[in-house]
Amino acid sequence: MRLAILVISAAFASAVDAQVPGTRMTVDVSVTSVTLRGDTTGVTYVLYNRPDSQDSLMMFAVDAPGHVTSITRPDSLWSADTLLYDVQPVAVWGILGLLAPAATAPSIAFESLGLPGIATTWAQGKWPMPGCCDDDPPPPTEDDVLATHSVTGKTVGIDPWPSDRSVQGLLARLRGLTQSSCGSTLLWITDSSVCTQLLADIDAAESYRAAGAFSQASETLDQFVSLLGSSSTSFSPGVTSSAYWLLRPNVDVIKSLL
Amino acid sequence: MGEHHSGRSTLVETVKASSSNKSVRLAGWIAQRRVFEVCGFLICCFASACRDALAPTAHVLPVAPVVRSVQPLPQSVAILPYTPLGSVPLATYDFVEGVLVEATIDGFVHVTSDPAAISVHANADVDYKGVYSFWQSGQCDWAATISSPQLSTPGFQACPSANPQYTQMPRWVDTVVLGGVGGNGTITARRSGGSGDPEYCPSGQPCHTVSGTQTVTLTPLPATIRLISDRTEIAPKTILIPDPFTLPINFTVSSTPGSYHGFTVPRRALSWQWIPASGDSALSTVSCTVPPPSYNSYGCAGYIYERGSLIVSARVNGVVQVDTMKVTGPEVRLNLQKTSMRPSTVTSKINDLQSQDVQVSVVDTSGQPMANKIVRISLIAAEGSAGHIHIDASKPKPTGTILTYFNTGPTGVVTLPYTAPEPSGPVSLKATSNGAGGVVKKIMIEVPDLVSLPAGADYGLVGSAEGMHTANHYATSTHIQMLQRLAAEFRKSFPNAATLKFNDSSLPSGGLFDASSLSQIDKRWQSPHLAHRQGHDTDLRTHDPDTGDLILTDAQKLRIWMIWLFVLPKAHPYQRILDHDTYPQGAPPHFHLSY
Repeated sequence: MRLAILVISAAFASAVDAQVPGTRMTVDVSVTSVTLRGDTTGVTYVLYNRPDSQDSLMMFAVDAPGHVTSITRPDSLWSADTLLYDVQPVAVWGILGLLAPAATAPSIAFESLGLPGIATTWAQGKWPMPGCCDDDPPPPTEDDVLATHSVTGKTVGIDPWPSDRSVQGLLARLRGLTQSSCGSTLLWITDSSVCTQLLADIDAAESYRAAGAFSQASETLDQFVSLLGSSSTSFSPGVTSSAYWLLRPNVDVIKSLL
Repeated sequence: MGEHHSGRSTLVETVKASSSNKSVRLAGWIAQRRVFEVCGFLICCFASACRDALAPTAHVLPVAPVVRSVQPLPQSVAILPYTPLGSVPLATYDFVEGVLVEATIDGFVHVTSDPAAISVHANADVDYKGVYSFWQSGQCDWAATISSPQLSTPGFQACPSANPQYTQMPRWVDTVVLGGVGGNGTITARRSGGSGDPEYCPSGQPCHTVSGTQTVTLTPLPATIRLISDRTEIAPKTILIPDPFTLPINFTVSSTPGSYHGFTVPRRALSWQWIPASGDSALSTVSCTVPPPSYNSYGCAGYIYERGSLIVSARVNGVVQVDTMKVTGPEVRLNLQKTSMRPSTVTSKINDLQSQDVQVSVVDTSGQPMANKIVRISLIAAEGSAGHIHIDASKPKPTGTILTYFNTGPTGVVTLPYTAPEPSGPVSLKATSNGAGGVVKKIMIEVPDLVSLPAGADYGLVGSAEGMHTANHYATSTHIQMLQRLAAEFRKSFPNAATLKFNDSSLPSGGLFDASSLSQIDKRWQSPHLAHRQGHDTDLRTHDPDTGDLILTDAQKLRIWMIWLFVLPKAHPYQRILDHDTYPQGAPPHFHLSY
């Protein structure tokens, strides 16, 4: 598989304001690069705790259904773990020195077997550790500390390789990712005409592939990429960096198979 | 175990002890010791008895037959020469109490005297009494005697001092007690004589010429052990439980026959053992010890409060034998639902009382409950157990609760709730009723399956309190693994940091973990640790307890928090970490790790 390294600055806001300790903050999770190396994908993030946050960021987690093959931490005041949240593998960074409001964290990254996908994130602010009481009875229901004290969001993550790795299958998957990016939940692409054209390009590429016109299919996917932006640092209007870093590497994978 | 199934029909295991049979005696004792070690008492030649001895709940001891055949010590024979002052060994009875024997002296020695002799003129065959010599200040020359180191020989009086000064009986028989102690038990046949012998006549030759020999024979008399008491036997070798309990039963080793010709058969007790009929009861007090070898003892006074059997091992006329006395009668019964219970937990927020029903009755000898019997129950918690090494008579260990004085009512059976105490450790329920055997049942108050956190390179164990609790790191195996994983993960994150210091987890059997300092004597059996009872909690030091200084940085504390809550697998819904920054009052700040 062809190696592709893309570096760009991008950002999206994972902003949920709430009053639960640990969630009183807004953290921007920026994807600064997505790398494809063989069957492994790597994603690099930069975290920014907005000035209006009340809590300092203490922990950041990204689900990693394809399992984490490597994870990096900036320095000794960070921890980096791979753990199971319920049964789901998750990459977790601990900001042991805390990330105060208005502060930007150094880059963090992890790699996993799979392709860029849409992942859930948990950003947890510092909240006071309970001090009482030893003889408190267990809570009636399971106390999910991660869910209770975190702000959840979506970012570019890594999905495990799909079972259908054909061009046809990967085009179908790209179509689903594109629809999600254009959907109201993510709103990573806000220009509906761009969305329409992107989907049309995918459909055309699939038609060419089905007819055996692989070069036309590849050219169509190039048009798809150009709709996202002119380069990894210049995105089209209405297209966010998250949409770019989600879709562009997947197109590269498909093109390498044509 | 083969020796237990020899098929012998007698209860008595005999061990011969004689001068010619030392090896047999030694082997017998070794065999006895093995039997003791395996079965706990001597009568294991009965397969059923041995099986009962090994059973945990009850012993059914057969009553030894009153009349049994016991092989006495072997006969000893020696030829005593005519030589004055000569002697030959006969036997070794190295017993302080001696051996009752029938002694015989057969035959004559012949004495020929020179006419010039001034002392005696026998010129005849004489028996063991020899010839009385006036010249030698009235001694018996050439008399045969039997010499015993420490015991007298009541028979065989000295030779006659009046004419005739010798006798001519071909056989003399008497009953004598012979023996010694401490390796000085050799019995000898001796020829008499005096310091002036031989007497020389003017011819220059000895005045008296003696010839011939006599045969000396010792025949130990047979005797079978018989354990008796000062109570009436309601059946052979069976007596009733005393009523009231306050007087001891006096047991005595006797024999059948008890004497020969007016001499009591020698006997000495070697061991006493009380075997309760209901397992390991400790109600009765039969603590008769074996006296020193130089002291003869054949009695034992015991306070008997229950059914059972007394077993005595004794040497009777030189032969080690065993006998029993069965004590029977009505008895109190306690039927437990379980012998292991979890401790209760009572805090301001938890009221977890662990209880079980205990069925109480007084049954007659046929096992039928007896109506309207007064029963007392006392509870005894084993001090110094389950990790609580602090023992203070003014603050006894809690025992749990049960009704302690009641009537069994018309049905004869009462069911009572017993509630476990908060501290762990064995608790004995002792039930008594006048005229009936008592019973003791033990309940182990414990949180099962706790294991000790071993020493590790990534962590230190602290909090051991001398005189209070030194085994303070017991927990469930899951909790232990979590602590070890926490320390390892922490080490990976902070390789140069000081090792984590794990303070109190739980005690070896869980339960209340009370004051951990001797200075907190007023808080014994109280709960500075509200948790730490079930093996799911451990304290982790965050501050130096002496200086109050932080020993973990905020980053390190945060990492510990993350490891415990997120990195470690979820072991329990209540897996948590508490920051006792100022809690409880007076205690140094620490983390409290749960599950």
